[in-house]
Order: sequence, then C-alpha cells, then structure tokens
Amino acid sequence: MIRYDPQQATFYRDKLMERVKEDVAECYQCGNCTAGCPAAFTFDYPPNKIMRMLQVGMVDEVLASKSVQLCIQCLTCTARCPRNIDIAGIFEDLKTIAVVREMKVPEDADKFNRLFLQNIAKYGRLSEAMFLVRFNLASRKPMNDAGLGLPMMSKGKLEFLPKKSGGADEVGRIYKKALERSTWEN
Amino acid sequence: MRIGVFVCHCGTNIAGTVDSKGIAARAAELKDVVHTQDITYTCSEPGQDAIQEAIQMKGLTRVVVAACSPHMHEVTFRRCVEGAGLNPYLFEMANIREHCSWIHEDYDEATEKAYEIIKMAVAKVRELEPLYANEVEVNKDVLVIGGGVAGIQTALDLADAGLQVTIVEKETTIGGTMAQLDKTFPTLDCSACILTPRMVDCSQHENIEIMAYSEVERVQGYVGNFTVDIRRKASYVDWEKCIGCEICQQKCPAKAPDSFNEDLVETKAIYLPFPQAVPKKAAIQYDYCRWFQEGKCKVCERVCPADAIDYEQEDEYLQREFGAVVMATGLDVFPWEEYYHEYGSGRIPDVISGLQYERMLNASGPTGGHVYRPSTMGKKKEEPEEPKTVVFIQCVGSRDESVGRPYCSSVCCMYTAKQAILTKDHVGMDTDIYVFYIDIRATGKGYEEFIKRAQTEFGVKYVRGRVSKLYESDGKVVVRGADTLLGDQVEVEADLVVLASGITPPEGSGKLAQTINISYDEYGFFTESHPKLRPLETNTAGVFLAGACQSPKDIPTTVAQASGTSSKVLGLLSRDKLKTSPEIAVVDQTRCVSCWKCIEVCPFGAPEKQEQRDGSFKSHVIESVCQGCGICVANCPVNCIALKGFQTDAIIDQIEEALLA
Amino acid sequence: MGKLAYYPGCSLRHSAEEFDSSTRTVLETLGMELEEVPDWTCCGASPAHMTDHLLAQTLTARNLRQAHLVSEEMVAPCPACYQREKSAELEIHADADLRAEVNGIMDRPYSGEVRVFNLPELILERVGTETLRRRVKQDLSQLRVVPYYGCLLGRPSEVTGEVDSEQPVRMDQILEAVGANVRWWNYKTECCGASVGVPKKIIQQQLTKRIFEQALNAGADAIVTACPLCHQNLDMRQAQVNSHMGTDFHIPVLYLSQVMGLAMGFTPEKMLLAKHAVDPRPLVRGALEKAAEVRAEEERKAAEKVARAKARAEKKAKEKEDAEAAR
Repeated sequence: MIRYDPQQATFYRDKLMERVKEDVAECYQCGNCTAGCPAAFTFDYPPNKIMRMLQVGMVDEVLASKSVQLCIQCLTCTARCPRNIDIAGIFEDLKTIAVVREMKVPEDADKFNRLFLQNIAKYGRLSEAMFLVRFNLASRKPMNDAGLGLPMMSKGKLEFLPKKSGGADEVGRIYKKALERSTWEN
Repeated sequence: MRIGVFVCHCGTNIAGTVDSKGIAARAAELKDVVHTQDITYTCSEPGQDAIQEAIQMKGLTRVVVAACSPHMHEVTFRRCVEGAGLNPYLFEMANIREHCSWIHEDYDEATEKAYEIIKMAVAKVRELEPLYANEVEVNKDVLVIGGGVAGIQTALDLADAGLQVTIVEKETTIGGTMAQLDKTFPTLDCSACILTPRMVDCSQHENIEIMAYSEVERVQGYVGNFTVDIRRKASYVDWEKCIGCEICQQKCPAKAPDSFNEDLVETKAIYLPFPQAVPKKAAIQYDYCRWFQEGKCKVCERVCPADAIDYEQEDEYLQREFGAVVMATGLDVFPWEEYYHEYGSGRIPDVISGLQYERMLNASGPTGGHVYRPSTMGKKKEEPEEPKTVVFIQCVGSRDESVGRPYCSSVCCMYTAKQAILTKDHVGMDTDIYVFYIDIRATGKGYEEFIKRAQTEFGVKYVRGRVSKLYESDGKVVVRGADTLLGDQVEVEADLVVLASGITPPEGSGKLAQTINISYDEYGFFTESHPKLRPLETNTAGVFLAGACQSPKDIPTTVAQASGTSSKVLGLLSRDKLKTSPEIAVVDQTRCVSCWKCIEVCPFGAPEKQEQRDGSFKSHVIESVCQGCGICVANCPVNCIALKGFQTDAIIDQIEEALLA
Repeated sequence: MGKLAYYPGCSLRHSAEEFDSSTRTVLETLGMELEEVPDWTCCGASPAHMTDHLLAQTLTARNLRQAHLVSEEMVAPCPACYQREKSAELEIHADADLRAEVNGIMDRPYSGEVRVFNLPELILERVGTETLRRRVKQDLSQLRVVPYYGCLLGRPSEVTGEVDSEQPVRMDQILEAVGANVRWWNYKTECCGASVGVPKKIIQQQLTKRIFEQALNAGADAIVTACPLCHQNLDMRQAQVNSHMGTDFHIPVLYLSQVMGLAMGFTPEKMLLAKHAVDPRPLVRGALEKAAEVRAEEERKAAEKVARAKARAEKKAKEKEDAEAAR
C-alpha cells in the first residue's frame, strides 16, 4: 500500500525547480525516457518511475536507488522528452543531493567518482593507473580490466608513476572549498 | 439633459466588493442626473423593465448603466433603451465589474473607484449624439474556399437553401482528405462510398459552381460586398474537351510525385488523381513534364482522343463578387520526416505515416488494398511480402512540445484503432499488432466501444508507452519503446511501422489568412471569434470557418460544424440589406489635407479618395467597411477625423472628470 | 586568426595519444597556431558534475582562466571536456553571481570571455569543406565508414551548436569533404556506455555490441569517432565484447583527425594507427589500393573509349576516301 507524502512531494518539487529549473509536475508519464535509456536495463526503477516517485513524494527511495547511481548522463531522455523536461538534469541533481547528504548508495559509481576526484585533487590531472588500482580495490574487484593492462602498456598508453602537474595544488584547494560550501540547504 | 444612472449589484459579483446601493444614491448629486436606481440583476427582465419605465416616466434623455463589461451586455442595454423610445447611442456603460469589483479586494477603495468610473461615464454621456445605423446592400453569393467534406457540406446546405455557391479548390478535384481514406471510424463505412455521392451532388447542383485547380489571390471589400480575385491554374489540358479517359496517364513516360497517394508510389507527369475525381480532368505537373523541361515528348497530345492537350495554356485570372466567405481549407499531415530523426528521418522504407498506410489499405489505392512491406515493393523478380508484425505509434507530432506541437490531434487514437482492425482483416487474424500509446482519446458516439472491439474482437495489443527509437536490424525494424504499466523497456521487431502523424494546417495557411484578413494562431489554424460562443465566425465580418482549418476534428464534428456554418451564413444573407454599426469614423472634409495617412494605416481599407466637385480629392470613410477601431483618428495630422460615439470632446470630458474633479 | 588555446584533457595525454597527435598535426597543417593551455588541469569530466555543481564549474573555470593567458579562443577535442568547459562558458558568462562564487574559491579570478570550440565545429568554421577538398592528396573513396558522434557531440543542441541533436551533420560533412565513403545510419548518437564501462561493464558491452551491428548493417568497414572514451569502448574493449557476448567483430575505429590526416597525405605511421587495439592498417592499405585500382580501371575505360571513337572516325574517313576513289 503506498501512502502519498504531499509534504515531501511539494518540498522536493520546489527544491528541484530552484536548483535545476525543472518541474516534475510537467511529466505526463509517456515513458519515452524509459524507452530510450541505454542503461535502464540495470536500473531498479525505470526513469519514468523515478519521475513518478518524485511526483508523489517517495524521495528517500529515489535517492537510495540504483537508477540514480547508474545513470550515465547520456542525455537521450532529455533530448526526446515531449514535454521538454531535462530528466538527465534532474538525475544529475539527485546524484549530488545523495553526495551532500552523505547517503549510503548501491553500486560502485559513487566510489568511482570520489576516487577520481581525490586523484585529480592530488595530481591535477588524472593518473589512470593509480586511479584504476584504487578503484578496483574499493569495489572489491581487483582483477577488473586486468586483461587490458598488458595491451595498453605495450601500446604505451599507460603511465605508471603519477606526476603532479602545475595546477595540482590549486585543484586540491578548489576541491576542498567547493565541498565545504555544499550543504543540503543550498 | 435628463440623465438616468442605474447601478447593478450583479448578485455579489459587484455588490460583494462595491457598495452599489450607496454609489447609486450618491450619483444623484451629479449635474443633470434626475434618476438613480440600484438593481440586483440589471440585465434580467425586471431590470430592463425598470430602465424602460424610468425612461418613460421621467423623460430621460440619456442613460448610464454601471455594471459589467460592454462586451457582455452593451448590445442588450442598447436594445432595451431603444425599446423605450430612446436612441440606443445615447447610452453609456460604466464597467464596475471587470474593471473594479473583480480585481480589487478593499471594499472602501473599490467603492470609491466605482463611483469615479460612474462620474466619468456621466461626463461622457452628456456629449453623446443620437446615431443611426447604416444599411448596406448585400450580395447573396457565397464563396467556399476548400472542397473537402466541410466545404462540400456547407456548399450543399447553402445551395439547397437557394443561394449561389462557388467552391474554389486548389487541387484538380474536390474531396479533400476524406477522399484519401479507406474506411471511416467507428462504422467502418467506406469513405469514398459516402463521400462521392456528395461530390457528384455538388457538381450537378444548379446552385453550385466548382472552380477546381484554382486559388484565391486577393480579397477586397467588406461583409456583403467582397470582391475576390481567383487564379485558375494552368493545367495544360482543356477541361471543356477532356473526357477523363486516363489514356494520357497510361502512356505518359515521365514519372512524378503522387500527392494523392502520399508519395507511396509515383504517378505520371500528366495525371488524374483518382477514378471518382470530381471534376475528372487531367492536369500536367509542369516540373516533371518532359516537354516543358526538355522540349521532347508530347505523347499525351498524340494519344488524347479528345484533342484536349494545350501546352500554351496560361493561368487565368477572374474576379467575382460574394456576400460571404467560408474557409474550409482542411488539413495537412505533420511532416514527421523533418522532425523525428530518431525514427529514421523517412529513410527507413518500412516506416510510413498513417495517411500513407491508409492509401495502402484502400482497395482503389496503389496496392489494391494489399498490405505489403514497402521495402519489398517495386522489386521486379520478387513478390512483395506481407508483414507479420505491425507496430503503430501514436502521438507523432501531437502532444509533443519538443517538435512545437503541444496540442492533441483528436483523430489519431481512433484512426489507429481502425487501421489496426483493417490490418487484421486484410492480412489475417494471426498478425501481431502493437499500438504504442500515451492515452486513448475516444470521445465521440460509439468511439469507446470501437476501441474495445479492437482490443477484444480483433486482439490488437495496446502498449502504454512511447517509442524512443526505430532502427533497422537484420531486415526488421526494431522498435525500442516502453511499457509503463509493467515498468520496463520493451523491444519489438516489426515488419512494418505506422506512425500516427498528427494534423497540421496546410502550408500557406498563414498567407491565405492574411489575404482574407482573418486571424490565425502560431500553427496556422484560423482563429474563431470566441471558442465557446462563436466557434464558427471569425472576427472579420462575413468570413466563417468550417472544418479542420479551425482545429483538428473528426468527420462527424466537421459535418456538423459545416452545417452550423451554413446556417450562420444564411442568417447573415437572409436580409437584402445589412445594418452596420454607426460608431465609425467620419472625415471633416473641409479640413482634410489629402495626406492619405488614414488610407495607409487603416487595416480594413475603409478610407477612400473621394473626388470633390472641384476635382480635388478628399478622404471619405466607407461606412460599411469601417470597424470603428480609431487608428485613423489617432493618426490624422490635422485631427479632422472623428469617431462617432467617441468624439474628442466626450473623451476629454471623461479625462477631466477623472483627473480634475 | 590568432593563436588558439589547445586543451588536450587527461585522455588525450595518454590513453588517446593518437587522437592528440593527429589532431595537432592536422590543425597545424591547416594553418592554425596552437598553444597548449598553461598548467591545465583535469576538467572534472563526469565525476565532478555528478558530485557538486559548484565544484564542476570551478574546475572548468580554472582552465578557462588559464586559457585566457594564451587566447580568447580554446579548442577541446575531447567532447566530455568540451561539454564541461562549454557549459561553464555559457553559465559563467551569463550569471555574474555564479562567476563571483566560482572566483571566490579559485586562487585567482577568471574575468575573461573565452569561447570554447569542439573539434568538428572548429574545422568547419575555420577551415571549411572547400579548403578540405582542395587539400586531399589520397583517395579514400573505397574506405566505407560510418560517423559515430556519441552522446556529447550532438546533444544538447544549445551546447554543441548542431542544428538537430538527433541528426548531427558536422562529421559527415568533414568526412565527405575529404573523400571518404560515408554511409548513412540511424545510430549516430546512441550511447556507447561512456565511463560506466568501469563500474558496470555489462552496460557498456551491450551498447557497443549494438553499435558494431548497426555499423555493419549500414555497409561500413570502419567506425569514425571524435571522442577518446567512445574510442576506448569501441576499440580497446572490442575484444572484451567479443569474448563476453560471443561475437566476432573486427571493426577498426578511426579518429576523425586520423582520417583527415590520411586524406591529406600523411602516412599511417604518422597518424599512429599502430596504437589501436584493432589494427586499422590492413583496411586502410586495402582501401587505398582498391581506390588506385578503381581509378586505373576508369582511366583504362576512358582511354578505350577515346581509342574507339578515334577508330570510328578513321574508318569513316577511309570510307569517304574509298568512295571518292571509286568515282
């Protein structure tokens, strides 16, 4: 039995309008976003259902979903929505809300993002080998993509020793300050 | 000068925010006001009786009614005072509802404002003079632009009532879109069977003249007296001689696009659109004819048994006079190839539009009613294949803001169900049919039952969800859609995909509207005078609307509307003379300096250069054309034009009352 | 036309070195002066904008500031970097409050108005198809390709500048101008999986498998792309797709700049074709050879036609002579 939560619904509808200028009330559930989404086959809720859940206030379930985490931001949904809603923009914002609220989320996408940013905060530019090793450990798949290692090395596409670039320190400071400023109220 | 002031309560609409009783009483203080009264509903019978009684008992010479907007009841009250023997133009309405009680909340402030509005009305009414309506002669012939089912219905109704009707149709035959259909929902009547008798009626009716292959170039004049320039396009065939035998079409070597068959197949450069065409005459498409393009051929001239070909023929221009014009220009199909690139931009042969599929289903169409996969047609050594899986996609070019068409096209849910049923009938009950929809709109009589038939009796599978992409794979068209009720993506491999493309106004509608001087919206649909109360008229007197040119609609609604339109036209032309409003501009010719600015700015063509006795020319406003908009009054550099009913003195008195008193 | 600031981004520096090198070669040969953005840093790509909006805009603004030291115009060949930098350009230039916020957390403020180009846009605007046609030295008419734009060179059209996000045309125009045989297909902008290939491999494999199928369906022998991540998914991971999905694809994936370079006369070695996982060299060699054959055949036929016409003329002349002689 679903119980609608009109307060959550209104609160998040206003929040999304403020943050990304999109109104979930415009969605008439045509399913075009779901139809075109390349990643939907791995989601727990298809994109149109996420929109519906937001409309009725089931926000916590949305923020804890695999769907929000696995969205690739390919923008196909936004491009084809007949009501011109930026659905990818809403999903992007939901990802950032999950981060700032420090929620526990499924899948490894959040680890990927965090380790990537930590890497560039340290070196300025992405140090691929270092980052992939770290990610594989964090996602408990140490042999992930191991088969690619040798070919990439032989083609000279892998650099082992990370080098700090000229702007690395500033990037580190930007990272720290930006995250300090992001609170849930903004 | 004896002025009567009547203040309406309008129930609580006015009295809830304005002290009607109080300001009625206060109005007695105003100069020349000899009678005041507050009434609960002034427009009602007792209310109007009270006004008439007061006029007669107290000998009132001017009347002010403070109530709603003149748009609502000015006409009502003018009639009322006229009934009591007072000239109806010695009446002024003070709007204390839309301009006051409906937009303010503070009782005291609103009351004060309402009183000021009344004071202004009294100041103006003092200056008004009696005016008398003009009468103008009326031409009783009617022009119907468009020979589809709407135009045909209107023409037949008017002709049966004894009026002379001319139908101007841009194609070589009348019949319009309905002639292209196979069957009509919900009865599954054969479309041509019910339409062609009507078409023949038109051609045989003594009161109807069909001008086919013609277009309206220019419209001048005013209601009751339109002068229309019509261009009869060159068909390069003498229609007096052509017998419609079609031999020329058979022998012509040049291929050309076939718009009647929605480009599903090609026709020849010389063509007759379909066998039941009215009139059934041939025409040559200039751009595809070998004689005109290359200087060789002339086969048609050689084979024509009636010696009807005339390569020298030119466009003919005619001028006619009409009393009323009916717009019945119909619709076009949304050009999905230019917008829905995710559906293949028209380059995937097995993806076609609803109207193209309709031509395929039609027994007198290019495939003789057989349903084939277009990708297998036209191959010399192989038989064309019938599809085993057909997918229909609804809302293509409708309900879609991303292609600029937010409206619903009204007929697609029904025609898709019809085509699905016909597919099962033509190909076999074991054909797999899917309809991807967002909502099903089946509002007419018998429509919902028809949808149920499609789903149950015919086993058509309805999938609630839109389709995101179509692409070819292994000889099939992959349909990537969603089933929102199951909550998942779906993929269907189809042999044939039919897009229920929406209704859009025909190309050139905007330009035509400008020629006729009527309003149109951002899509090209013609604008009605009021969507609820006046859906058949336009804001241009004498021009009426019928059919899909006003908004997307199905055939029953179109026919009903067309008959309604003809009754409006009959109402207009039932008298020999028309009364026109006397609140029009009048030029003081003693002060006119012949600068012709008024002619330049008038949107209706009312001012004309009138020759005076001494050979000079002064401006004169044609009474029956002038709509009283006041633009010429404002633009005249020497202020010699007055607007009767809104004279400068009256307006200035109103302003002074508002600002100085 | 002054100097252009060149923003390679993290991928072009290492895993997509061939894209970087061929792009620089081609752009410089076409007369552009490039200078790498001094001390450029990572644009943040997907992880930044999926974590925090301010962070994403600031990381990109920093690069715009650095670019401004060199030029008012910057080209970012990687479409992901381009989208990030372009969206920063559009938002920051229009919104003074955002600019102030962004400047507040950088070491030094950004006060310029840098315009960011993507690669096809730059080529069409600054060079144009006419010039490209004139610079063609090698005949690629037998190289059948499909242009794969991916997600970020088409959508959204407000950012990319393509008129229609479902049917972008810039790569088609460039490839046609340099003489390649461009096939039409309806899969130009369908996603390859992007970076989700690392955390959730199955998505990327399904998507690239479809792209390969559609390319073959359209009659192409190679896919042309202008995105290093698409290239990695299609080229580097093609073997993974084959082993996990049971397919046997062998479709070379070329960069737009490499095709341009080959057409302009550069060798496969110069274009670093050897760095690809699926070796394109046999296909390119074969296409060039076939083109030469086709040309030779055409020349032969034309020569034959001339010879036949000559023979006819001579015969006629002789007949005339004989007739004269008989009289």
